[in-house]
Amino acid sequence: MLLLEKIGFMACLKYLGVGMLGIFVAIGLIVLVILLLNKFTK
Amino acid sequence: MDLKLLDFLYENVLAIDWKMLVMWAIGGILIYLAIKKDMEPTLLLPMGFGAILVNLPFSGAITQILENGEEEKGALSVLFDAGISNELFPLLLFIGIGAMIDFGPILSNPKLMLFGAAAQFGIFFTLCLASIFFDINDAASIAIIGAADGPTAIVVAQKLDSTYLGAIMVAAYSYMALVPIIQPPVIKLLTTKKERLIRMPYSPAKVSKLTRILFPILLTVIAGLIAPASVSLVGFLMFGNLLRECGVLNQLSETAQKVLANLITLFLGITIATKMQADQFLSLDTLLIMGLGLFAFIFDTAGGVIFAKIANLFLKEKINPMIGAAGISAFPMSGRVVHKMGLAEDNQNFLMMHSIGVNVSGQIASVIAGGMILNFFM
Repeated sequence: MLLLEKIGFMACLKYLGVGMLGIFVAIGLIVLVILLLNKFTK
Repeated sequence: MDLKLLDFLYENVLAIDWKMLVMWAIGGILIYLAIKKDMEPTLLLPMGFGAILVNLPFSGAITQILENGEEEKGALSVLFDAGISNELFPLLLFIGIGAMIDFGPILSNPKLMLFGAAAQFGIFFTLCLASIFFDINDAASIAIIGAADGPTAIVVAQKLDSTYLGAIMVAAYSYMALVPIIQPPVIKLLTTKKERLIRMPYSPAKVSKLTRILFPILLTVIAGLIAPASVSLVGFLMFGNLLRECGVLNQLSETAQKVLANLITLFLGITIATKMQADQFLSLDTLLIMGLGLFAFIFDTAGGVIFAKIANLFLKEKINPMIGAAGISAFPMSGRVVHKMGLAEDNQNFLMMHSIGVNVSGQIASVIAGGMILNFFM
């Protein structure tokens, strides 16, 4: 876990990138799971 | 008659200051918006009334320190400790919300979930802006207003120990109710008429009952592995959905959707008001938080729409980019707004099932975003 104090605007842009990437990875995995579920549970 | 007995009356009246009067007015405005304008009445009315309760002199509704130094517990403070400081109330509410949601539209067309992900852009962008004015935990708590989801905002703000919970809640619920006013201008600015006219035929794939049962379980596992701090949020939401979909717990599902959800909403609204005491609430920081919250909603909308426009560069069958805006978690208002805008451009263009599907996926994505924020900063 990161322990943070006041960080700058530029550092926050990193969190923007990592955060959006993380959400897309999670949602991408969920989409994949749904596609597999639809395929194997007909 | 000993007139000194009436001293307490003068003391109480003389203890009223201008800040309390302002908070009474704010409480009155929230009540007016709830009743007259039908803006999120389930939360704004209790919050408005609670704001008045906690801003009366020496209010017995909140904990007071007596002259002898003893603490006299107030009911709202007890409720706050019982259900908000430990995040219990919002998590229980999520069981009810999960039981209300039908994931059918995204199970039959899972690609829609990507727009829900894109529409969380405003959260992280607002984090960058808010970190200029606030320390990082408060900035993250303010950014999560962009999740457009009350329980997620409460859980994140509490876990990050933000001092601005009252302002965050007022901003979040007010803007959720204002989605029909906030989103259309942003959508129109970012899309052309030709794009808004794109039709999307709806032909749903059949979804098996087994899929509907396995989905909440697997989603909890995936979200929990990527963002462990989101397990409580995602888990309670999916538990509620499993109650709905399993088919053998209809009474529990109905209880969750109606009795539990209403009961918790009742407690939540009035208890949040403990953070609307004048000294905490009336500051320039509150105005700044309201501004940042609006910024988050605007950039959530923009993120979803722009993602849809980028997707169209690669797709043969074009999608109407307006549905990207429905990825904001304000369910079902955002989905309805997009559907109405589609009909306004072309009265034969029915976007409802697509926009509602994206709207539902926004609920999931916003909870995952909340978990990511907690993972970064807890």
